[in-house]
Amino acid sequence: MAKNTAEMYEPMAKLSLDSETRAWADDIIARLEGEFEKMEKVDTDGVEPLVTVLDLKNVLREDVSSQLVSRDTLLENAPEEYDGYFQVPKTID
Amino acid sequence: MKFMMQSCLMVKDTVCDGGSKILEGFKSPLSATAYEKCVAAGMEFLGLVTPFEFGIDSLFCDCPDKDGTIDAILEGKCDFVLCNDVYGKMSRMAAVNGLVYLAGAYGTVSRFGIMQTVSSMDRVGVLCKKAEDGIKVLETISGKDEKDGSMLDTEKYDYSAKCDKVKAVKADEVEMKYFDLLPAVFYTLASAELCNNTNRYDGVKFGYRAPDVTDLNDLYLRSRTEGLGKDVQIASMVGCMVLAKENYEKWYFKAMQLRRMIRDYYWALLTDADVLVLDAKCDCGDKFRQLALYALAPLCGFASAAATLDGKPVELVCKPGKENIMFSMITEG
Amino acid sequence: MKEYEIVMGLEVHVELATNSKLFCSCSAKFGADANEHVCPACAGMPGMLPIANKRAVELGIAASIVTNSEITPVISFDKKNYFYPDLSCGYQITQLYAPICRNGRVEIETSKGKKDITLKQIHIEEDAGKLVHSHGVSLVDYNRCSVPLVEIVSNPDFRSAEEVLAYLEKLRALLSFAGVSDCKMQEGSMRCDVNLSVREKGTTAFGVRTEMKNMNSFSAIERAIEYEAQRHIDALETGCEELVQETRRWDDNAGKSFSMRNKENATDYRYFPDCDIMPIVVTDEWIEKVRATLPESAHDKYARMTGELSISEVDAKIITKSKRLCDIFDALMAHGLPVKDVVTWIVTELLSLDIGENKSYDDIEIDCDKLASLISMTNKKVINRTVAKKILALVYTDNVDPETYVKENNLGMVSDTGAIEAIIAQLIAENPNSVKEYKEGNAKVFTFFVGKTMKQTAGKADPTVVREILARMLDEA
Repeated sequence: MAKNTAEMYEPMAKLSLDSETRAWADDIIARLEGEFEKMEKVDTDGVEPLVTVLDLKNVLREDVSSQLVSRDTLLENAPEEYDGYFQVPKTID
Repeated sequence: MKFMMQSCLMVKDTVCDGGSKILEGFKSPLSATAYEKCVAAGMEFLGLVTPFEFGIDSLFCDCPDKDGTIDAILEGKCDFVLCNDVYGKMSRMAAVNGLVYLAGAYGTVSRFGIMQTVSSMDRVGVLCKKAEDGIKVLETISGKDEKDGSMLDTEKYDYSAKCDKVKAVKADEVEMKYFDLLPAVFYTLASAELCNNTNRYDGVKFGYRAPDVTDLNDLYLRSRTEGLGKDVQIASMVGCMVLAKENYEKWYFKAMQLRRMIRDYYWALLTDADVLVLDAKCDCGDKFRQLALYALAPLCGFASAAATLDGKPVELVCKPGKENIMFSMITEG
Repeated sequence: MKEYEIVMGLEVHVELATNSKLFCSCSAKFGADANEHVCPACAGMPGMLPIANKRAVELGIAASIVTNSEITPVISFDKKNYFYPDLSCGYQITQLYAPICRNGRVEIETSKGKKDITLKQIHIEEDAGKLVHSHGVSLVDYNRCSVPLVEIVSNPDFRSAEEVLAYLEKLRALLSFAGVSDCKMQEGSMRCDVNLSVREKGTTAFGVRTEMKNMNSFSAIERAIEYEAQRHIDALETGCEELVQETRRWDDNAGKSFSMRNKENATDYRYFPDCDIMPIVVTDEWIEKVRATLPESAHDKYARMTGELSISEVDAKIITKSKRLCDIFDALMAHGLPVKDVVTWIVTELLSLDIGENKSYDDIEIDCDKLASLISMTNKKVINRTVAKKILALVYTDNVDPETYVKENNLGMVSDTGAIEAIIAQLIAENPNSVKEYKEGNAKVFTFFVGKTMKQTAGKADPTVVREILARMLDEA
């Protein structure tokens, strides 16, 4: 099995760790892999995964539209704004 | 009562950066339900306290004994601070410093307006000096909110009733089943959720954007790397790893299964006993196990409290519905 | 050259006709200014939690019903992670593990007869925002971000562009009649990705598959399929290009597909269940309730038209092909107009309107009250048909009110028989030769007189009345 390293996952998370943090992350990953082995040994056959903490069902809202904030409020935090849009460097398709 | 909030809880038209550079100057468009409830109850809001990043820093390193949140109470700046505590760090620091930290069971206090970190473990709690104050505040902020989809139906909680008979058990008196597995389960779930929830911090819509970016990828990489703290970065690596196609089944799915087994076991244990007493300052030296101990309560949706019992800092855990019993233990010292 | 077979599977995205978004209460209406329908939640800001829209789930159930799918008893939502500016949260909420339904079936009809297209699944998910490229930068509009949609995933059952188009037409009819979506391709509420591979006829193994996106009309889909299939065949025949499994963007202007190297390819989306959204139990009672409230299907409408309303099969087929035309039909019928007139006006007049390129009859926006008043004025002989046609075009383009317009422009039909008689008398006097020809049995001359009379009345006379008077007066002359 290929050993997991932080470097493998940095592009996925859009992060570029500095060498110190990367070494730290690798150390943690190595230790966790050891922990995970214990986890894998437990027989969980047929156990329903616990996704939601509470056993609730069908929490739905009615289809009513409302405006929570104005566009000005929304764009107030934009690092770069242009004519009501959020601006980013040109995306290449 | 006068209160402050960690800045990972939001107040409308106020800069709330959650203690993170990535949210530099972020003016919140909304207020946390817990905040609104306190204000509506006539409590006076004094301002924000800067927590560790999003309230979850020190996930992977030694947790210090105190931070600005603890200082706010120790220095008498206010009567209580509203916090988000994912894995018991606030709780532990409170106990060590002789303070009280109370958190209702998952689903009793609305998470609306707190910066989501680990969605299935995020819980608003109250840090204060006197247990009576904390209980009153917890009552005030608890209750169903339509803006949080995972809440119990109860509209109003009453934590005032006292109980004389408390069946408390200490961790070393019962079988702490799955104890060795807790760290792995906790880190798997918490890292994945934290990684996912912090995807939103990308320098596009709000908050910090790295200067002079050359292209879109550069914008993402540099804004996030410069803006997010080391713990979030490491958690993101672990999160990506456990969710990656080749690992999902054996790690993430498995951890969700184990979580159910853990919950069911401790649910049964705390049906029999009322309160589980955990040593808040165990010096077992094993960081993973220590952290997992704190993680236990939120991991399984129990209510928890931090206090000092017999001069020793402890954490208490109980099932939803038994809060009165647990709180009685603290108020009686 | 060997004989090849095209194998295609379709992913059709259809935005659901809800008032609000899938997980927040922002308006889902099309056409607002940039970022007007956006709140902190769909702008990716922290602090808000997703609460699922009940109507969106019900429209998902409706989509499952009309595609004969097996509805999942307990559905749930998952998070799909990737970074792109049109995705505000850095993840999309979708359904991977328990989608709304599986194993559906849609019957299509082509020149080769009837065929069943089988569906793998339909899932409900959030739409992404829109990117606009301008002055060297990209601009993001989150109005569509988190608008609910269903993605309908077919099995690789398609063998020709004709089958693909027949399927899309059928889906559009099924979904628009059921009120699931307005299915407007040019507004992006219906979109289609084509997974295409090519193999030698008679073989069973699949070839290398490419996925094509960004086709904005049925004709673009047809062109894209033709191009891409040929590209695959050329690659296999000549080896000039190596086929790789990838996502490609269709450029309709260039008539070519291009590899999307940056965005879509080789991504691990790291799907996992969303712990903030409680599972949704879809009970049989709920399904039956949705079924009971489904609007009349195209099939049932056709049966009603050809049955109790005695409309010809040809006309009924034309009208029931479009949800919009059916809506107009029902609206006009509700005005109490005769069936025959309603059908004629839709099939001959409305369908000869110039509605512009790249538009279908599903896009006709016309005020049915005004249309009804126009038809009724024609029936009451207030105006004649030629005038009515001209006004129809104006109702469509400028939303003019027919009654006001007729009055203001003095277009009312000349019904004063005295005036018509006077005109005809003068014409007879001015054209003695033509009268003579008529008397000798030249029928064409009659038409000549009708034309002259209509011209004199500026087209406002009732041709029937003109004919009557003319016949009488010519005989008397």
